[in-house]
This record gives sequence, structure tokens and C-alpha cells, in this order.
Amino acid sequence: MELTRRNFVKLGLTAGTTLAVEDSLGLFARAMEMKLGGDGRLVDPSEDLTKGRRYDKVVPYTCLACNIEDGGLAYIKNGRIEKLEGNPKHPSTRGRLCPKGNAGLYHVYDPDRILYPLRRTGPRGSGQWKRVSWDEAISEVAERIVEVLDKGHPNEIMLKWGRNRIGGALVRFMHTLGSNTIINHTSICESSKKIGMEPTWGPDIETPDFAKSKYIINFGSNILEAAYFHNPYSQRIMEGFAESGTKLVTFDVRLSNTAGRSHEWFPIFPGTDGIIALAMGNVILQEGLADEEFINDWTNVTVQELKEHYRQFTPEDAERASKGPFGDKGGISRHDIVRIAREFASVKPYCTTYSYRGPCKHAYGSYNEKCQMMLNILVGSVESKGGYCLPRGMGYKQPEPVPPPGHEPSYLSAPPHYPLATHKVSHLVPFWIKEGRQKVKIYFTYCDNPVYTNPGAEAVWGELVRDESLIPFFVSFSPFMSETTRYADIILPNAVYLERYEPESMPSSLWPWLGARQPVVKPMGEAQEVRWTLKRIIDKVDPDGKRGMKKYWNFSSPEDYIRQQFEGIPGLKDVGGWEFIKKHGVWPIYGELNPATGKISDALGFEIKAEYGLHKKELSRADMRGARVDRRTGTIYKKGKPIGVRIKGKNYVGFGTPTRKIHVKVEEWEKYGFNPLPVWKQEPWLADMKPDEMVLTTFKWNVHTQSRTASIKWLAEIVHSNPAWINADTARKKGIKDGDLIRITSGVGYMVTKARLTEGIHPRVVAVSTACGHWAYGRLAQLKLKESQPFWSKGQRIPVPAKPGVGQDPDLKNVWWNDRGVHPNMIIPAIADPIGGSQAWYSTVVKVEKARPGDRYGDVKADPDKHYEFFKMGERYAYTGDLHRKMHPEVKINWEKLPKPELKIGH
Amino acid sequence: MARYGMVMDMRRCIGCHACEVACKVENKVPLGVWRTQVRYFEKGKYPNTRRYFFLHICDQCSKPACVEASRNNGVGAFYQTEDGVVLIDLKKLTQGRTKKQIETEVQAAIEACHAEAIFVDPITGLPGKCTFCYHRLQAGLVPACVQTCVGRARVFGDFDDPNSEVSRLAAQHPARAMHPSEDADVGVVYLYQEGNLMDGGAMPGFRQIDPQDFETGKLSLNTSPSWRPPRPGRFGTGE
Amino acid sequence: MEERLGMEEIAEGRSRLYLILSRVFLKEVSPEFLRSMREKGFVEYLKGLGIDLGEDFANKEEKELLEELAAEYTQLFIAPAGASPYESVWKKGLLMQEPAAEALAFYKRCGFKLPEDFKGFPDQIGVELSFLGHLTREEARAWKEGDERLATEVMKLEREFLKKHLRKWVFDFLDCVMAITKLPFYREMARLTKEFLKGEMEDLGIKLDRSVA
Repeated sequence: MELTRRNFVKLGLTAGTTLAVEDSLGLFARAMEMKLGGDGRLVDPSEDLTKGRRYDKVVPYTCLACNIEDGGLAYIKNGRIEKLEGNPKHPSTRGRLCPKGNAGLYHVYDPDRILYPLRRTGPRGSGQWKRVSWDEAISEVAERIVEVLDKGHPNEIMLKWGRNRIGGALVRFMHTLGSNTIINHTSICESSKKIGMEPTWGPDIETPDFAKSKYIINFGSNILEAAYFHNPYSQRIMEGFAESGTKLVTFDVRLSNTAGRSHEWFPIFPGTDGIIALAMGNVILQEGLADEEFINDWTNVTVQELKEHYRQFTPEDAERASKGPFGDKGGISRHDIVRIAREFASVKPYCTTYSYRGPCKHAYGSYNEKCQMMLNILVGSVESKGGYCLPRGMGYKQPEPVPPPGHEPSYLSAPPHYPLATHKVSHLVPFWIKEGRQKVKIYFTYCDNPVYTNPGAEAVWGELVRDESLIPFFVSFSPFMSETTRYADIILPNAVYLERYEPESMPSSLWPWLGARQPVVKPMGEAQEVRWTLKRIIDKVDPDGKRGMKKYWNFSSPEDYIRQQFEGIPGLKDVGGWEFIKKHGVWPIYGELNPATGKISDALGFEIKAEYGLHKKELSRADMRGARVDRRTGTIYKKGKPIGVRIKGKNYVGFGTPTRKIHVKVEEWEKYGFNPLPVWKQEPWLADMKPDEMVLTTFKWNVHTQSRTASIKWLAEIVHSNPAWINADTARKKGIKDGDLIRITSGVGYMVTKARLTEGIHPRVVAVSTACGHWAYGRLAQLKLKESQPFWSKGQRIPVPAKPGVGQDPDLKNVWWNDRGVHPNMIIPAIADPIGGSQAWYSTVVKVEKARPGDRYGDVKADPDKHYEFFKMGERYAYTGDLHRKMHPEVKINWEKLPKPELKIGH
Repeated sequence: MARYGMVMDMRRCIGCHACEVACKVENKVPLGVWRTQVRYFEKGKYPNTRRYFFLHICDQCSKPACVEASRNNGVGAFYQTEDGVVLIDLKKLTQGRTKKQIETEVQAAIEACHAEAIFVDPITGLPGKCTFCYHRLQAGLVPACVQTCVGRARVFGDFDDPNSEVSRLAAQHPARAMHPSEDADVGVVYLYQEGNLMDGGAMPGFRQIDPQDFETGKLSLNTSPSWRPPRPGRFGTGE
Repeated sequence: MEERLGMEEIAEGRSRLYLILSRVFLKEVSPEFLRSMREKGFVEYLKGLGIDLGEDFANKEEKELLEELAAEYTQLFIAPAGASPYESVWKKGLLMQEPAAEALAFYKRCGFKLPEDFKGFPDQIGVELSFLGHLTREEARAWKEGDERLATEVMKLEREFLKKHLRKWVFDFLDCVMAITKLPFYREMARLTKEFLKGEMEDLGIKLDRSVA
């Protein structure tokens, strides 16, 4: 018999009548009779139910393409997102979105999205999966949790997140289970910046008033492309440029867009921001340009003390340091240091610095951060118009009851030898697990891709998660396959940000706001937002409430959870609470966006004003009732808590420090043998560099985030590869031409990539962007279209030559690039700043040479053992290490009596 | 009557590509072709290097050469609205015409354009260009690129209204067209854009990433030397 | 002598086959589906047509085979970078684009609706084949009731749907499945689907793309 029409029909008629096809048969139901109309037609052929208005509805949301949390509006038609635009009611965003935000809808409709729970059927990382039902998947996860709770210890359940904006649900989950092994990603982000700032004035971030500033000194920030808060701050810096004559001076090893648009760019040797800031501070103090009243009134040091301390930091020394150990061309001259310090101070207080986040990504980056922050304190531009202002955030609630933290401290979460690193040291976790410092039985990963984003990458985190003896059970919530998620045992796919309910607030401008995410479309397929998944897991772990867990998860739906978080907030509750935010996307609404000026205007048409001098708000009589004032410091205490500070007879709110003053001197640091005053320490491996060595640094483009945008076609079209930026002169000396293959070798491995010659980088620095070079994320990021192995084939499958012009996206035929980049993180060792814990991203010593025979573009090799050696070396600089004292000869304490490392709950 | 136009205030541009991506999403522009594009270039020798941006877009000329070429080589499918926007009537272009006829007309228009603003959509085979998001204008909205511009560098309005922001800006600040010529005035004006940026100093595309592009100094929509625009081949065979 | 097939029978047979093929792509092979295929001679019938579902499919132990089939289904249609079974992806490169909305509108026009809690995609191949199964069923009913005009109109709808929603992508999709699957079951069912749909389109006067082999 052959496959003829007749035989098909007979197949259906005879052999097919009894097949169990209820799923297909029952899929459609009749909504109406099939009847011919008067015109003899069944249905109107011209009726197109999909045509109509440009959109059906507009839904406000908060963007999460990166972490700036811009306010957005989603235009929906036929249940599909047609366009994303900025929310004009949002005081920070003012109606505009960056390219990543514009492209955000790609996340929702990405064909590689994981829409159903998956369970691996082959070995970890083999790419073999089976779809399972949510119930099955959650049951298995709950079973494993129960096993650990009953036979082991709750701390053996580890959760690490990369981007946690789900309003407290992750911590709630872990504390419900009684675990303290909660890890974030902050040490690869900006933890040392936070640690530089927090003990000094309270919050972990600043909100400079760029629009009104006359002078901005930018230390290592690429705010016009990335950083907190790229969109709102770029708007205001350019406003300053065009309307206030703002001058922008940038210190950066590379000509980023920010440096490129600055009025002056100083290409300094990596990590020397601190000494330059100190020298400037010295000039300001010596020449009487400081705001001495502010220093004496508002800080815990006197002008005299500071003058004496700063004297040692001369512009000559700073110049020398800025040129690097070999006096390379670039850096900053002593004359310019003095000039810029004077220019900066001359317009005080309408001046500010900015540093997110170059200077802090070094060992001793906390010092760098402190040094640059000091410039604002010295000139008194703190909380001034055009100056360096406190962040204005707003809080939302955690629904009661809130589970208390677990009973036992977790080494991985609060490593005792990094006691000042209160934002954790997440990037060293694999080494600690390997050494057995804490055991892990289950690893939950949320919105994180450490096998790609962390130092060592596959050679450190890959090694960890591949090892079933170290990580017996691995669960991912990721809606996309990634370098990390491909090693999971179970995937419980999250909904993407445009499909979730999450409360939001960010100090992204001088106007505090509350906002939220809400599903602008229903979650696709069977994707489920993680807050709900976590609740379902708890329900399975504690079905009858006997474990006392259910009470912390008293929500009837994800929307109910968020509604509880906005309940009872003063002001908001008067306008409708959650319903208001649902409708408008943001609260308060300060005014209307004036399309002619691009600014938010009040009812009379004037630009809304910001508040300044928050620290000088006076305490009311009610506040002062029952309070007592410390005679020595002036700190005002009430019920044992510091609530303000009395200065010259007035009672002010002050700053978020124990004395309510700015702590220029941080005694807590001295306790552990670190210098309590602002100083600069160069990383020894930079100081000891050899003349033929260079420094590898990484960077972000304006169209990409760390790792999750490489497959978005409109963004990938703009940036899809990451050649190494190298100074044209340096390259010439090495015989390297533009586009040549080069080999970059670090202490732990090497990579082979292309060279991109530029006049825009320090001669001793080579820079590679981290956005590209994926090896397991999305068809476009991996460029599986054009390889000889067609993207249809996977691993062991039989390669089939791709038919020309045949692809799964007609637009992908138009992919005109065939280079997907080479990722550098594998060859960067994991080292932590002993104070703030930050990964030393920007100080990897490397050799750069023309590629050797046999080297191929894309070769990356790293040795896990060498990574381990570097990790051990890095720990020697911790306060408990043998190299700590050597780095701090100037600190006069009893070195024999350093506090013992304590395992503490908290952080 | 209005005369729509755009001012590019280059003091404010941060080269972020929001405009480029918004345009692609709004107008469903395929990969490899652009209605508007952000281009970078660097000037100076280290350490005195600076970066500039250039916003490439159709000039919406007052005497559009593409319209004339289209009329002289075809049925005049390229036309200009009363408010100054140059559009393409695809129906007029394709209805009842042979492949050769369409190709001739489109090719003539492409070659006549001084700004290389017209492309051939590689999926549909039909010509495309910036339309100032005419469908948005008709709904009272500004073009997508203007709406999203983070730095507020792109400003849109009516040049015939002396009180409009575009008129004011063009009058009060150093302004120039992309390709100044003796007779034609244009609908797109650049403020504070340095002279040689347009005249061959621009790096093609933001393709700093592709080292090959360093070799070509030509101002062009083609970003990789190996890429050629798809010839107007298959017409009306789109989705 | 071969018996002549009546219009009703033809439509009925086609409907059944659509539903069977739809079931293959709609979900993993269920125990019921597998059993019914094994027990009712379907496998042998197919073999006679030159469609060989393989030794394992006929004889392997049920539980093991179902696991294998489920894993393969996931690899092909669920896990990233397989053979995406969604019309939108093949035509627009993204999920849930115009083709999905248009397919849903088509169903609505014809008076069909999907379940309230439907979590799938209107343009998934299994859903589209199921719709054709339902449509041809209506055609069969019309023939049965002697309403030739109604039947003809329904056939017009079948033609419209096949032309608008399947012609441009389904053959590439099926070729892709055949190229990458490891199991004869999916390869052969894809082949069967391909030949059947080719025949359907030819029969209804739809010109195939030159690239369809």
C-alpha cells in the first residue's frame, strides 16, 4: 500500500476510529451552530477579528530588563504586547525607556523560553529533559526539603539569587524553612561601594542632583550607559549639560560613552581613583576651600584632624600612581589634580562626585569608595541642591506574620573572616563548599547565572554544580536555559517580569516613589511566578501546618500577596492602596509630564521642586519628648535608639549612623586592623606587575545587561561580539593589528579573542565586555544559526546541513553577523576585598600576545586548581590572614588582640 | 499647513540606541536594515580622545530627490505629504506592475537619495524608509524615537510654526543639516553636531565590535563590508 | 474492485486522521494513546502503508517506552532550541505573534472555542490540526444530512485555514522534526503528517511552495 489519499482516508476510517484521541477531540467546543447565512456563506470572509485600534489596553508596569526599575507602559492588542514605552507619570523615568526596556517584550515571546517544568533525564548538563507537571515537580522538591529538615539541618538548603526584586518572598521562604544560607550576588556587583558608604552616612547609595550640578567628578562610572540609575540620571546629566552648563570630568581606564562625552577624560591606571581623590581632598583642605563648618558640625572628625591626615596624600604621589608602575602615558598630572580640585570646590555646594562602580571592584575597593565620597563631605555638598544627596526610597510592607531567621548562622552567608562585608561574599561560596566549610544538600538558584557571571565561571561555579556530591539537588526557577540552569535537576519556570506581581521602589531620583510590576499579559504556557511556586512548595512541605510554616504564607493569590504589601501605607491608603498603583503604575504622582520640557510640572505648570537638606530636618517637640542628648557627641537618643543630633542648639534628624553624624572615621574598621580614616591601598599584584604585563578589565554596553540580553535580536544586532579593546600604540608595539587573534593569559587560564585597536584606553589595560560569549543561552546568543552544526542539532544529534533560507524566524535569515564573542570571566580569578567583599574585577594581571599557532578564536581554558590557588591567596588579605597586617603598617592597634572570627546570624 | 520636522540636539545625545530599538519594535523593521541608526565615532589620539554620536535618519527633504526619481522612473510611488513627510505608497508601487518595473523605480529612488535612507526590506522585498511614524502622527503622537529618547535629544514639531520648540531650537543654536546643499532645505536639523562628523568621519554603525568596520570610513547603512543590500527581488510575496 | 468512498466517509476519515496526528503533537504519548495504537492494529496498518514506527514502539515494555517517548517529546517541542511547534515562531520568530491571534480569530469566526482555562497556544501545531479535525467533522455531518451547500462552504474554510495557517511553515517544521528526532515514532508520524497535508492541500487546490520536497 502507498500513501495515497484514499489510503489516508481509510486509515482514518478503519484503523483510527478507536484511538484514544480525546485530548484532540475535546480541545474545541462548539460556540455556535454551523449554518449558512442568507448570502449562502458560512462566515463573513472579510471579517478580520484581529484588526482594529492600535491597542486594546495600556497597562503600567515597572521594568526589570536591568535593575534601574524604570516606570513603563505596555500597549496590549489582542492579548499581545505590541509596544513598551516609558510611564509619563513616573517622576524618575519621565516617560522614557532605554533600548533594553524597549526590547523587553522579547523576553515574553522568546521562542527559547521554558514554559513548563522540566526534569532532567540524563546526566547533569547533558541537555536531556522531560516535561513534568507542576504537581510532580513541586512534590519532588518538597520531598527533598522534608528529607533535609527531618534528617539534616535547614542550613543545608541554600538559595542564591542574582536579581531579587520579588518583594521579600525569597527570604521569607528561606526563613520559613529555618535556613540562613541565603546568598545574593552583591559581591560581584558593588558591595564594597556599599560598605564604603554605609558606615559613613547610613544608606548604601547616593542620589546626586545632576540636573542642577555645576561640576561632576566621575570616578570610574559609566552612567551614560549603565549603572544606577542609568536612565533617570542620564536624563538629568544631559539636562545639566544643555541647561546648566554642567561640567563632567571622568576618570576611567577606558573611553566609555560617559568618558567620551565628558568634558575631560583622564585615563588612569586601574584602582588609583582613591589616591587621586585623596590628593584632591588634600588640595581642598590645604587651600581653605573646604566647608569647614560642615566638617566640624556634621562629621566625627575636626578640620584639623583631617588636614593632618590628608597632608600625606600629595598631588605628586597621586600623579605617579595614576600613571601606573611604569609611568605609562595617561594618568593625571599634579597640575590637573590641583586645578580640578579647585574647580570642583569653587562651585560648592553645586558639585558632586559619582562612582558607580569602578573604584570599588578592587581589593581595598572600600577605601577607594570612601576616598571619593569624602570630596563631597569636604566641600559640604552633601544634601545640597546640585550636590551629593541621600537616597529617597520608599518602603512597602512584609505581610504579617514574618518568619524569624533560622537558628543557626551560616558560614556561606556570613563568612566570619569577612565581618565587615555585610553584603556577603557570594563569589567565594564554591570554594568554601569545596573545602567543606559548610555543607549544602539543596541549591535553589533564582534569576542568577553564576556559571557565566561570576569570576571563574565554568571553571569555578561549573565545577561546583556539576558535582553531585557537593550539590546533591539543584533547582532552578529560570525561564531561560543558561550556563547555570542547564545543570539543574529540576526547572520550575518563573514568569518573566512583564507577567509578575512585584512591589517596587528605588531611589532613582529626588522624588521617592512606590510602584509595582503586574502581569501586562497572562504568564505564557505554564510559567508561574516564583512567589506562588514558593507558596506551593511550603504547602507541600507543611500540608497540615504542623511545622508552623503555613502561617507565613497566608495568600490566596499572587495579587493578594502584593495587595497585602501595599496595605496601610500612609498616604497611599487614602487614594486606594494597591488599586491606585495598579491603575497608574506609580505613587505619588507628583505632576504631569510637560512634553515641551520633558520635566514633571505641577498644576501651575512649574517644574516640581525637590527637597534638600533632609539631614537638617528638625525634630519636633513630640519627637524630643522623653529623649536625651549625649553631651559629648550631641547624639539624641530615645528609647535607647539614636534619633537625631543636636548641633549648635538645634535638634536635627541627622544621618543613619549611630551618632547621627557623618562618620569620616569608622572605628568599626579599626577594630579589625583596617584604617578607620580614608586611605588608599594598591593591590600588591598590581604594584608588583612586570613590564610586559597588562591589566584585564571588563565592562557593560548600553544595550546589554550582564547576561540576559544577548539573545534579544534588536540588541544583539547592535552588540553581538566582544573583541578586546587594546590601545593602538600598545598593540603596534606587540605587532598586533586590528582584528588580529590575540591570546590573553591570566594566572588561571587564557582566552583567544580578536583585538580591537582604539585610542580610547589606557596603554596598559585591555578591556573585554562581559555581555557576549554565551555558550548555553539562546540560539542567537550562541549563534547556532550559522555554525556548521545547524542550530537544530543538539549535542549528540546527527548534524544536518541547514537548508539555505530555512530558519525558525524569517528575520534570523537576516542575521548578518557571524561572531558571538568570547567570554572573559573564566580567566578572572576570584578575590575579595577584605573589607567590603567585592570581587576584584578590574585588576586581573594578564599577558597579551598575538595568538599562537593552533589557537582558535573562542578558545577559553581555565584551570580549576589554579583558581583555587588564587582564592587561597586572596584569603590571606582577610583580616584573619597573614598578609593583612603587612598591608596596614600605619594602623596602631594591638595586632595580637584582633577580634576572633565569629559565626554570626545576620547580614 | 504644518511642516513636520525633527531637531537632533546633540548636546543631549548619549548614544544609547533607545531610538533605534524603539523604531524597530514600533515599525517591525527587520534585522540588517534601519530607518534610523545611532553611529559612533572617536576623534583624537590617546589620551585626548573623545566620542561623538551621529543620528542617521531620512532628511525628509523639502524637494525630495527620491520622489522625483520615483516619478521619472516609475509611477511616483514615493510621494510627499502636505506636511512634509516623504512616504512610499506600496500599493501604487506594486499593483499591476512587473518585477522589472518595480525594481527600476525603487533602485532609482535609492540611488537618488543623498543620505542612503531608503532600504529594501529583506523579508518582503519592498522598499522602506523612515516615515516619521506617520501612523503615530495621525493619532496625535510623536514618532517612537522621539518619545523614548532618554537624553531628549530628538525633538519633533512643526517648522512652520515659529513658536514651536523645533523652530526655536533651530533658530537659537548652531544648527545644520546632515548634507547641506544649496537649494534643498530639509526636515531634520542637527544642533551642535560637528562638521566633519557627517562627511566621512563617521564610523559605520555602532559596529565598533566588528573590527572590519574600522577599515571602511564610508557613511553607509551597510555596516559590514561583506553585506550587500538585498536587490529588490521578490515583490508582494510577503506574509 | 475497490469500493467507492462517499463524501461523508472521506470527510470522516480525514477528520479522524487529523485528530490522530493532532494528538501526536499536542502532548506526550499517554498510556491510553499508546495502548490504543498497539491494540487496535494501527501499528500494523501503518506498516502496510510503509510507515514503520519501529520495533520498540510495537513491543517495548510500556512504562519504559512511555518515558522514552515523553523525553523525546520534551526534547523536540518543549525544551529550548528544538523544533518549535508554534506557527508564530516559524513566521515571526517569536511566540504569540499575529499568527496566534489570527488563528484564534479564525476559530471564533467558525464558531469554535477553546476551553476557558486553556494554557496552550492557539497556533501550536497540535491545536491547528485538531481544529481541522473538528472542521472536517462538521463537513462530514453536513454531507450526512445531505446539505451539499453547507459542506462546500465548510470545505472552503478548510482550504482557507490550510492556506493561511499551515502552508508556509508546516513542511519546514516537519522536515525539522524528521531531521532531529531520535525515535522512529516521531519521525514516521511527522512523515505521515507531511504526506497527508501535502495531499490535503493539493486536493483543495492550494499551490505548495516550490521548496516543499
